[in-house]
Amino acid sequence: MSCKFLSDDTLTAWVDGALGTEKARDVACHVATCSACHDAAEALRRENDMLRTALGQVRAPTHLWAQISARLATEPVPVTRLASLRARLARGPRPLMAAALAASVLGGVVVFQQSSRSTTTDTALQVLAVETVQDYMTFRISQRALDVASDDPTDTLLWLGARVGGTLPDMTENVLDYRLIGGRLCWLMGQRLGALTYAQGEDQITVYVMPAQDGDVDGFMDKVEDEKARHTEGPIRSTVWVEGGLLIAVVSDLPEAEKNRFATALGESLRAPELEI
Amino acid sequence: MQRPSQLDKFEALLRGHVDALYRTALRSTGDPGLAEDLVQEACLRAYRSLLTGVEPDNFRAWMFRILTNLCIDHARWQTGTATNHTAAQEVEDMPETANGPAQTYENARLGDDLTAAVAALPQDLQLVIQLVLVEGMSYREAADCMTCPEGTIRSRLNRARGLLRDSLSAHAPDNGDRIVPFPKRGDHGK
Repeated sequence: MSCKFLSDDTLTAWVDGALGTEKARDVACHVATCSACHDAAEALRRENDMLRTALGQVRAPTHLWAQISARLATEPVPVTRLASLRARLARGPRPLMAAALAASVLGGVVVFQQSSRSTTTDTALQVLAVETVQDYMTFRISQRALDVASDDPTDTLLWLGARVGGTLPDMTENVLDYRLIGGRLCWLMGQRLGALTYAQGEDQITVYVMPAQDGDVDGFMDKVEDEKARHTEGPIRSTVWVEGGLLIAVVSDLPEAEKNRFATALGESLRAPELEI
Repeated sequence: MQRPSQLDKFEALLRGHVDALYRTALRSTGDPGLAEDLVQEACLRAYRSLLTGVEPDNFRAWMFRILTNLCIDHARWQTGTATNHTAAQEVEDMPETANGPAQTYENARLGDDLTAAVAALPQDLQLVIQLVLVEGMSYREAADCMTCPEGTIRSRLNRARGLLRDSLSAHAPDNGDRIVPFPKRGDHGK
Protein backbone atom coordinates (compact mmCIF):
# COMPACT_ATOMS: atom_id res chain seq x y z
CA MET A 1 0.00 0.00 0.00
CA SER A 2 1.66 3.14 -1.14
CA CYS A 3 -1.19 5.62 -1.14
CA LYS A 4 -1.52 7.28 2.22
CA PHE A 5 -5.01 8.51 1.44
CA LEU A 6 -6.78 5.25 0.79
CA SER A 7 -6.43 1.84 2.40
CA ASP A 8 -6.42 -1.38 0.41
CA ASP A 9 -9.52 -2.50 2.27
CA THR A 10 -11.44 0.60 1.33
CA LEU A 11 -10.32 0.44 -2.27
CA THR A 12 -11.30 -3.22 -2.47
CA ALA A 13 -14.69 -2.54 -0.93
CA TRP A 14 -15.20 0.26 -3.44
CA VAL A 15 -14.37 -2.00 -6.36
CA ASP A 16 -16.76 -4.59 -4.96
CA GLY A 17 -19.48 -1.98 -4.67
CA ALA A 18 -19.68 -2.41 -0.93
CA LEU A 19 -19.35 1.21 0.14
CA GLY A 20 -22.19 3.55 0.91
CA THR A 21 -23.10 6.19 -1.62
CA GLU A 22 -21.27 9.05 0.05
CA LYS A 23 -18.12 7.10 0.79
CA ALA A 24 -18.12 5.62 -2.69
CA ARG A 25 -18.31 9.11 -4.15
CA ASP A 26 -15.31 10.21 -2.10
CA VAL A 27 -13.29 7.20 -3.18
CA ALA A 28 -14.24 7.71 -6.82
CA CYS A 29 -13.03 11.31 -6.63
CA HIS A 30 -9.73 10.18 -5.17
CA VAL A 31 -9.22 7.34 -7.64
CA ALA A 32 -9.85 9.72 -10.50
CA THR A 33 -6.85 11.79 -9.46
CA CYS A 34 -4.49 9.13 -8.04
CA SER A 35 -2.89 6.93 -10.66
CA ALA A 36 -1.66 4.41 -8.08
CA CYS A 37 -5.16 3.85 -6.74
CA HIS A 38 -6.59 3.95 -10.23
CA ASP A 39 -4.24 1.23 -11.40
CA ALA A 40 -4.79 -0.83 -8.29
CA ALA A 41 -8.53 -0.57 -8.76
CA GLU A 42 -8.21 -1.66 -12.37
CA ALA A 43 -6.10 -4.61 -11.25
CA LEU A 44 -8.74 -5.61 -8.74
CA ARG A 45 -11.44 -5.34 -11.35
CA ARG A 46 -9.48 -7.58 -13.69
CA GLU A 47 -8.98 -10.00 -10.87
CA ASN A 48 -12.72 -10.06 -10.24
CA ASP A 49 -13.42 -10.47 -13.95
CA MET A 50 -11.04 -13.42 -14.15
CA LEU A 51 -12.73 -15.14 -11.26
CA ARG A 52 -16.18 -14.43 -12.65
CA THR A 53 -15.17 -15.77 -16.03
CA ALA A 54 -13.47 -18.85 -14.65
CA LEU A 55 -16.14 -19.75 -12.11
CA GLY A 56 -19.29 -18.39 -13.66
CA GLN A 57 -19.48 -20.55 -16.75
CA VAL A 58 -21.09 -23.55 -15.15
CA ARG A 59 -24.74 -24.07 -15.92
CA ALA A 60 -27.15 -26.38 -14.17
CA PRO A 61 -27.82 -29.62 -16.05
CA THR A 62 -30.90 -29.33 -18.22
CA HIS A 63 -32.69 -32.09 -16.34
CA LEU A 64 -32.33 -30.32 -12.99
CA TRP A 65 -35.15 -27.88 -13.53
CA ALA A 66 -37.50 -30.65 -14.61
CA GLN A 67 -36.65 -32.59 -11.47
CA ILE A 68 -37.19 -29.56 -9.26
CA SER A 69 -40.49 -28.74 -10.92
CA ALA A 70 -41.69 -32.32 -10.60
CA ARG A 71 -40.87 -32.44 -6.90
CA LEU A 72 -42.54 -29.10 -6.23
CA ALA A 73 -45.68 -30.22 -8.04
CA THR A 74 -46.07 -33.19 -5.73
CA GLU A 75 -45.64 -31.12 -2.60
CA PRO A 76 -48.97 -31.04 -0.76
CA VAL A 77 -50.51 -27.64 -0.19
CA PRO A 78 -51.36 -27.22 3.49
CA VAL A 79 -55.06 -27.14 4.16
CA THR A 80 -56.55 -24.66 6.55
CA ARG A 81 -59.41 -25.42 8.86
CA LEU A 82 -61.85 -24.49 6.13
CA ALA A 83 -62.83 -28.05 5.41
CA SER A 84 -64.00 -28.63 8.96
CA LEU A 85 -65.90 -25.38 8.95
CA ARG A 86 -67.60 -26.35 5.74
CA ALA A 87 -68.53 -29.68 7.22
CA ARG A 88 -70.09 -27.99 10.20
CA LEU A 89 -72.06 -25.65 8.02
CA ALA A 90 -73.23 -28.55 5.88
CA ARG A 91 -74.79 -30.23 8.90
CA GLY A 92 -77.53 -27.67 8.83
CA PRO A 93 -78.98 -25.04 11.15
CA ARG A 94 -77.89 -24.98 14.74
CA PRO A 95 -79.55 -23.51 17.79
CA LEU A 96 -79.51 -19.80 17.91
CA MET A 97 -77.74 -18.06 20.68
CA ALA A 98 -76.89 -14.64 21.76
CA ALA A 99 -74.11 -13.78 19.43
CA ALA A 100 -71.29 -11.41 19.77
CA LEU A 101 -71.94 -8.43 17.66
CA ALA A 102 -69.57 -5.85 16.50
CA ALA A 103 -69.70 -2.43 15.10
CA SER A 104 -66.97 -0.31 13.74
CA VAL A 105 -65.91 3.21 14.38
CA LEU A 106 -63.23 5.21 12.74
CA GLY A 107 -59.93 3.73 13.80
CA GLY A 108 -61.40 1.04 15.95
CA VAL A 109 -63.84 -1.79 16.24
CA VAL A 110 -66.34 -2.00 19.06
CA VAL A 111 -67.61 -5.43 19.91
CA PHE A 112 -71.08 -5.60 21.37
CA GLN A 113 -73.17 -8.39 22.72
CA GLN A 114 -76.77 -8.79 21.75
CA SER A 115 -78.98 -8.65 24.81
CA SER A 116 -81.85 -10.50 23.21
CA ARG A 117 -82.71 -12.25 19.99
CA SER A 118 -84.39 -9.17 18.73
CA THR A 119 -83.62 -8.46 15.12
CA THR A 120 -83.63 -4.78 15.87
CA THR A 121 -80.18 -4.99 17.26
CA ASP A 122 -79.17 -1.39 16.92
CA THR A 123 -80.80 -0.47 20.20
CA ALA A 124 -80.05 -3.67 22.10
CA LEU A 125 -76.31 -3.79 22.21
CA GLN A 126 -74.16 -4.35 25.23
CA VAL A 127 -70.59 -3.32 24.83
CA LEU A 128 -68.13 -6.14 25.39
CA ALA A 129 -64.97 -4.45 24.42
CA VAL A 130 -63.60 -1.50 22.59
CA GLU A 131 -60.24 -1.91 21.04
CA THR A 132 -58.40 0.01 18.45
CA VAL A 133 -57.35 -1.71 15.31
CA GLN A 134 -54.70 -0.34 13.09
CA ASP A 135 -57.05 0.56 10.32
CA TYR A 136 -59.99 -0.75 8.44
CA MET A 137 -60.68 1.04 5.22
CA THR A 138 -57.07 0.56 4.43
CA PHE A 139 -56.74 2.66 1.36
CA ARG A 140 -59.31 5.27 2.17
CA ILE A 141 -58.50 5.97 5.77
CA SER A 142 -54.89 5.12 6.36
CA GLN A 143 -53.65 5.50 2.81
CA ARG A 144 -51.39 2.59 3.49
CA ALA A 145 -50.80 -0.32 1.22
CA LEU A 146 -52.45 -3.61 1.95
CA ASP A 147 -50.39 -6.16 3.78
CA VAL A 148 -51.09 -8.47 0.92
CA ALA A 149 -52.41 -7.40 -2.45
CA SER A 150 -53.38 -10.05 -4.91
CA ASP A 151 -56.13 -10.76 -7.38
CA ASP A 152 -55.91 -14.39 -6.44
CA PRO A 153 -58.01 -15.13 -3.35
CA THR A 154 -56.00 -18.27 -2.66
CA ASP A 155 -52.86 -16.22 -2.22
CA THR A 156 -54.56 -13.75 0.05
CA LEU A 157 -56.22 -16.42 2.15
CA LEU A 158 -53.06 -18.48 2.44
CA TRP A 159 -51.16 -15.42 3.51
CA LEU A 160 -53.71 -14.31 6.07
CA GLY A 161 -54.56 -17.84 7.13
CA ALA A 162 -50.98 -18.51 8.09
CA ARG A 163 -51.13 -15.52 10.42
CA VAL A 164 -54.53 -15.88 12.04
CA GLY A 165 -54.38 -19.59 12.68
CA GLY A 166 -56.05 -20.89 9.58
CA THR A 167 -59.46 -19.70 10.71
CA LEU A 168 -60.44 -17.81 7.61
CA PRO A 169 -63.36 -19.09 5.61
CA ASP A 170 -63.09 -19.68 1.92
CA MET A 171 -63.87 -16.18 0.81
CA THR A 172 -64.84 -15.98 -2.79
CA GLU A 173 -62.94 -13.92 -5.29
CA ASN A 174 -66.03 -11.90 -6.08
CA VAL A 175 -69.01 -10.87 -4.00
CA LEU A 176 -71.58 -9.33 -6.29
CA ASP A 177 -69.49 -6.99 -8.43
CA TYR A 178 -66.89 -6.47 -5.75
CA ARG A 179 -63.54 -8.12 -6.24
CA LEU A 180 -61.16 -9.20 -3.52
CA ILE A 181 -58.07 -7.04 -3.89
CA GLY A 182 -56.09 -8.05 -0.82
CA GLY A 183 -55.95 -8.25 2.90
CA ARG A 184 -54.51 -6.82 6.00
CA LEU A 185 -53.70 -7.96 9.51
CA CYS A 186 -55.04 -6.25 12.59
CA TRP A 187 -55.35 -7.01 16.26
CA LEU A 188 -58.60 -7.03 18.14
CA MET A 189 -59.40 -8.42 21.57
CA GLY A 190 -56.01 -10.03 21.73
CA GLN A 191 -56.54 -11.94 18.54
CA ARG A 192 -55.17 -11.68 15.11
CA LEU A 193 -57.76 -10.26 12.82
CA GLY A 194 -57.75 -10.81 9.11
CA ALA A 195 -59.24 -7.98 7.11
CA LEU A 196 -60.22 -8.64 3.52
CA THR A 197 -60.81 -5.73 1.21
CA TYR A 198 -63.16 -5.92 -1.74
CA ALA A 199 -63.37 -3.15 -4.29
CA GLN A 200 -65.63 -2.11 -7.11
CA GLY A 201 -64.12 0.90 -8.78
CA GLU A 202 -63.60 3.47 -6.05
CA ASP A 203 -65.99 1.76 -3.67
CA GLN A 204 -64.41 -0.44 -1.07
CA ILE A 205 -65.79 -2.75 1.55
CA THR A 206 -63.65 -4.30 4.23
CA VAL A 207 -64.55 -7.60 5.81
CA TYR A 208 -63.05 -8.42 9.17
CA VAL A 209 -62.89 -12.06 10.08
CA MET A 210 -61.85 -13.40 13.43
CA PRO A 211 -62.58 -16.44 15.57
CA ALA A 212 -65.69 -15.87 17.65
CA GLN A 213 -65.42 -16.02 21.41
CA ASP A 214 -65.53 -19.48 22.92
CA GLY A 215 -69.09 -19.16 24.09
CA ASP A 216 -70.23 -18.29 20.63
CA VAL A 217 -68.58 -21.03 18.67
CA ASP A 218 -70.99 -23.81 19.49
CA GLY A 219 -73.98 -21.94 18.31
CA PHE A 220 -74.24 -19.69 15.34
CA MET A 221 -76.95 -18.10 13.37
CA ASP A 222 -78.78 -20.16 10.85
CA LYS A 223 -80.31 -17.15 9.23
CA VAL A 224 -77.68 -14.57 8.68
CA GLU A 225 -80.06 -11.84 7.78
CA ASP A 226 -82.11 -12.18 10.94
CA GLU A 227 -79.19 -12.07 13.26
CA LYS A 228 -77.01 -9.41 11.80
CA ALA A 229 -76.16 -6.50 14.00
CA ARG A 230 -75.96 -3.14 12.35
CA HIS A 231 -74.24 -0.12 13.64
CA THR A 232 -73.52 3.31 12.30
CA GLU A 233 -70.79 5.58 13.49
CA GLY A 234 -70.45 8.75 11.47
CA PRO A 235 -70.14 7.76 7.84
CA ILE A 236 -69.04 4.24 8.68
CA ARG A 237 -71.58 1.46 8.73
CA SER A 238 -71.01 -1.99 10.04
CA THR A 239 -72.89 -5.23 9.80
CA VAL A 240 -71.74 -7.99 12.06
CA TRP A 241 -72.67 -11.60 12.57
CA VAL A 242 -71.26 -14.90 13.72
CA GLU A 243 -71.04 -17.79 11.34
CA GLY A 244 -69.13 -21.01 11.40
CA GLY A 245 -67.32 -20.07 14.55
CA LEU A 246 -66.20 -16.84 13.00
CA LEU A 247 -67.18 -13.33 13.83
CA ILE A 248 -67.55 -11.46 10.58
CA ALA A 249 -67.86 -7.71 10.29
CA VAL A 250 -68.61 -5.92 7.05
CA VAL A 251 -67.49 -2.32 7.26
CA SER A 252 -67.91 0.43 4.72
CA ASP A 253 -68.90 4.02 4.21
CA LEU A 254 -71.13 2.97 1.34
CA PRO A 255 -74.90 3.44 1.70
CA GLU A 256 -76.56 1.08 4.14
CA ALA A 257 -78.55 -0.71 1.47
CA GLU A 258 -75.46 -1.40 -0.59
CA LYS A 259 -73.47 -2.61 2.37
CA ASN A 260 -76.28 -4.91 3.45
CA ARG A 261 -76.63 -6.25 -0.07
CA PHE A 262 -72.93 -7.10 0.06
CA ALA A 263 -73.22 -8.68 3.51
CA THR A 264 -76.12 -10.85 2.42
CA ALA A 265 -74.29 -12.01 -0.67
CA LEU A 266 -71.20 -12.67 1.39
CA GLY A 267 -73.19 -14.77 3.82
CA GLU A 268 -74.60 -16.80 0.97
CA SER A 269 -71.18 -17.28 -0.56
CA LEU A 270 -69.87 -18.66 2.71
CA ARG A 271 -72.41 -21.45 2.45
CA ALA A 272 -71.42 -22.28 -1.11
CA PRO A 273 -69.43 -25.45 -1.81
CA GLU A 274 -65.81 -25.17 -0.84
CA LEU A 275 -63.53 -23.79 -3.46
CA GLU A 276 -60.88 -26.08 -4.75
CA ILE A 277 -57.51 -24.62 -3.93
CA MET B 1 -56.90 -29.88 -11.25
CA GLN B 2 -55.51 -26.46 -11.72
CA ARG B 3 -52.07 -25.96 -10.25
CA PRO B 4 -51.92 -23.64 -7.31
CA SER B 5 -50.84 -20.24 -8.46
CA GLN B 6 -48.52 -20.07 -5.48
CA LEU B 7 -46.43 -22.77 -7.11
CA ASP B 8 -46.42 -21.00 -10.45
CA LYS B 9 -45.23 -17.81 -8.83
CA PHE B 10 -42.58 -19.62 -6.86
CA GLU B 11 -41.29 -21.31 -9.96
CA ALA B 12 -41.23 -18.03 -11.83
CA LEU B 13 -39.14 -16.48 -9.07
CA LEU B 14 -36.90 -19.49 -8.75
CA ARG B 15 -36.13 -20.33 -12.32
CA GLY B 16 -33.72 -17.48 -12.94
CA HIS B 17 -31.59 -18.52 -9.98
CA VAL B 18 -31.18 -22.23 -10.62
CA ASP B 19 -27.87 -21.93 -12.50
CA ALA B 20 -26.40 -19.77 -9.76
CA LEU B 21 -27.70 -22.07 -7.05
CA TYR B 22 -26.23 -25.07 -8.79
CA ARG B 23 -22.89 -23.31 -9.31
CA THR B 24 -22.78 -22.44 -5.64
CA ALA B 25 -23.62 -25.96 -4.53
CA LEU B 26 -21.07 -27.37 -6.93
CA ARG B 27 -18.46 -24.90 -5.69
CA SER B 28 -19.19 -25.96 -2.14
CA THR B 29 -19.30 -29.71 -2.66
CA GLY B 30 -17.26 -30.40 -5.79
CA ASP B 31 -19.75 -33.16 -6.59
CA PRO B 32 -22.24 -32.53 -9.43
CA GLY B 33 -24.72 -35.16 -8.23
CA LEU B 34 -24.64 -33.93 -4.69
CA ALA B 35 -24.97 -30.36 -5.88
CA GLU B 36 -28.17 -31.28 -7.74
CA ASP B 37 -29.57 -32.96 -4.65
CA LEU B 38 -28.80 -29.98 -2.46
CA VAL B 39 -30.38 -27.53 -4.89
CA GLN B 40 -33.51 -29.66 -5.10
CA GLU B 41 -33.71 -29.89 -1.34
CA ALA B 42 -33.21 -26.14 -0.98
CA CYS B 43 -36.01 -25.48 -3.44
CA LEU B 44 -38.37 -27.80 -1.61
CA ARG B 45 -37.58 -26.24 1.74
CA ALA B 46 -38.11 -22.77 0.37
CA TYR B 47 -41.45 -23.71 -1.16
CA ARG B 48 -42.65 -25.32 2.06
CA SER B 49 -41.71 -22.19 3.95
CA LEU B 50 -43.61 -20.02 1.51
CA LEU B 51 -46.68 -22.19 1.94
CA THR B 52 -46.57 -21.61 5.66
CA GLY B 53 -46.59 -17.88 5.14
CA VAL B 54 -42.91 -17.00 5.16
CA GLU B 55 -42.30 -14.01 2.95
CA PRO B 56 -38.66 -13.23 2.30
CA ASP B 57 -37.71 -9.63 1.67
CA ASN B 58 -34.97 -10.69 -0.69
CA PHE B 59 -35.88 -13.87 -2.49
CA ARG B 60 -32.44 -14.48 -3.96
CA ALA B 61 -30.57 -14.01 -0.69
CA TRP B 62 -33.14 -16.16 1.06
CA MET B 63 -32.75 -18.99 -1.45
CA PHE B 64 -29.00 -18.83 -1.22
CA ARG B 65 -29.14 -18.83 2.56
CA ILE B 66 -31.16 -22.01 2.55
CA LEU B 67 -28.75 -23.57 0.10
CA THR B 68 -25.56 -22.47 1.83
CA ASN B 69 -26.87 -23.75 5.14
CA LEU B 70 -27.51 -27.10 3.51
CA CYS B 71 -24.03 -27.09 1.98
CA ILE B 72 -22.40 -26.20 5.27
CA ASP B 73 -24.45 -28.78 7.14
CA HIS B 74 -23.48 -31.40 4.62
CA ALA B 75 -19.83 -30.48 4.90
CA ARG B 76 -20.03 -30.77 8.67
CA TRP B 77 -21.69 -34.13 8.31
CA GLN B 78 -18.86 -35.19 6.09
CA THR B 79 -16.20 -34.01 8.50
CA GLY B 80 -13.21 -36.21 8.17
CA THR B 81 -13.78 -36.94 4.53
CA ALA B 82 -13.64 -33.46 3.12
CA THR B 83 -10.18 -32.51 1.98
CA ASN B 84 -10.56 -28.81 1.59
CA HIS B 85 -12.53 -27.74 4.61
CA THR B 86 -10.83 -25.49 7.11
CA ALA B 87 -12.61 -23.96 10.04
CA ALA B 88 -13.37 -20.33 9.45
CA GLN B 89 -11.39 -19.23 12.46
CA GLU B 90 -8.29 -21.00 11.20
CA VAL B 91 -8.56 -19.00 8.04
CA GLU B 92 -9.11 -15.78 9.93
CA ASP B 93 -5.90 -16.44 11.82
CA MET B 94 -3.78 -17.03 8.75
CA PRO B 95 -1.12 -14.40 8.08
CA GLU B 96 -1.72 -11.80 5.43
CA THR B 97 -0.23 -12.61 2.08
CA ALA B 98 2.54 -10.43 0.80
CA ASN B 99 1.49 -10.68 -2.79
CA GLY B 100 -0.89 -8.37 -4.56
CA PRO B 101 -2.60 -8.66 -7.89
CA ALA B 102 0.47 -7.43 -9.70
CA GLN B 103 2.50 -10.44 -8.71
CA THR B 104 0.02 -13.20 -9.14
CA TYR B 105 -3.06 -13.18 -11.29
CA GLU B 106 -1.18 -12.25 -14.37
CA ASN B 107 0.62 -15.53 -13.99
CA ALA B 108 -2.52 -17.57 -13.92
CA ARG B 109 -3.89 -19.27 -16.95
CA LEU B 110 -7.52 -18.40 -17.08
CA GLY B 111 -9.65 -21.38 -16.34
CA ASP B 112 -8.05 -24.45 -14.92
CA ASP B 113 -5.37 -22.86 -12.76
CA LEU B 114 -7.73 -20.38 -11.22
CA THR B 115 -10.50 -22.91 -10.78
CA ALA B 116 -8.11 -25.34 -9.13
CA ALA B 117 -6.77 -22.65 -6.85
CA VAL B 118 -10.27 -21.69 -5.75
CA ALA B 119 -11.20 -25.33 -5.25
CA ALA B 120 -8.30 -25.69 -2.86
CA LEU B 121 -9.61 -22.95 -0.61
CA PRO B 122 -11.61 -23.71 2.51
CA GLN B 123 -15.34 -24.02 1.91
CA ASP B 124 -16.19 -20.75 3.65
CA LEU B 125 -13.85 -18.82 1.42
CA GLN B 126 -15.06 -20.53 -1.72
CA LEU B 127 -18.61 -19.64 -0.84
CA VAL B 128 -17.73 -15.99 -0.28
CA ILE B 129 -15.96 -15.80 -3.63
CA GLN B 130 -18.85 -17.52 -5.34
CA LEU B 131 -21.55 -15.37 -3.79
CA VAL B 132 -19.86 -11.97 -4.06
CA LEU B 133 -17.53 -12.12 -7.02
CA VAL B 134 -19.29 -14.64 -9.24
CA GLU B 135 -22.96 -14.23 -8.41
CA GLY B 136 -22.66 -10.50 -7.79
CA MET B 137 -24.11 -10.32 -4.31
CA SER B 138 -23.45 -7.36 -2.08
CA TYR B 139 -21.51 -7.94 1.12
CA ARG B 140 -24.76 -7.51 2.98
CA GLU B 141 -26.57 -10.14 0.93
CA ALA B 142 -23.68 -12.55 1.31
CA ALA B 143 -23.61 -11.93 5.04
CA ASP B 144 -27.31 -12.67 5.16
CA CYS B 145 -26.77 -15.90 3.24
CA MET B 146 -23.91 -17.06 5.40
CA THR B 147 -25.42 -15.79 8.64
CA CYS B 148 -22.42 -13.72 9.63
CA PRO B 149 -21.56 -10.02 9.91
CA GLU B 150 -20.67 -8.00 6.84
CA GLY B 151 -17.22 -7.46 8.27
CA THR B 152 -16.65 -11.20 8.23
CA ILE B 153 -17.55 -11.34 4.57
CA ARG B 154 -15.07 -8.57 3.87
CA SER B 155 -12.27 -10.22 5.83
CA ARG B 156 -12.93 -13.63 4.29
CA LEU B 157 -12.92 -12.12 0.86
CA ASN B 158 -9.62 -10.40 1.49
CA ARG B 159 -8.23 -13.63 2.88
CA ALA B 160 -9.46 -15.60 -0.10
CA ARG B 161 -7.90 -13.16 -2.51
CA GLY B 162 -4.64 -13.28 -0.63
CA LEU B 163 -4.54 -17.06 -0.58
CA LEU B 164 -5.37 -17.21 -4.27
CA ARG B 165 -2.55 -14.81 -5.12
CA ASP B 166 -0.15 -16.84 -3.06
CA SER B 167 -1.30 -20.07 -4.59
CA LEU B 168 -1.14 -18.83 -8.14
CA SER B 169 2.20 -17.13 -7.75
CA ALA B 170 3.68 -20.26 -6.19
CA HIS B 171 2.60 -22.47 -9.05
CA ALA B 172 2.67 -20.14 -12.00
CA PRO B 173 5.14 -21.03 -14.74
CA ASP B 174 7.46 -18.22 -15.58
CA ASN B 175 7.37 -19.02 -19.25
CA GLY B 176 6.05 -15.96 -20.92
CA ASP B 177 2.39 -16.96 -20.72
CA ARG B 178 1.66 -14.11 -18.42
CA ILE B 179 -1.29 -11.94 -18.94
CA VAL B 180 -0.34 -8.30 -19.14
CA PRO B 181 1.15 -7.51 -15.73
CA PHE B 182 -0.77 -5.25 -13.41
CA PRO B 183 1.04 -2.05 -12.60
CA LYS B 184 2.22 -1.85 -9.05
CA ARG B 185 0.30 0.66 -7.08
CA GLY B 186 3.40 2.23 -5.62
CA ASP B 187 4.91 3.12 -8.94
CA HIS B 188 2.51 5.92 -9.66
CA GLY B 189 0.83 8.84 -8.12
CA LYS B 190 3.66 10.07 -6.00
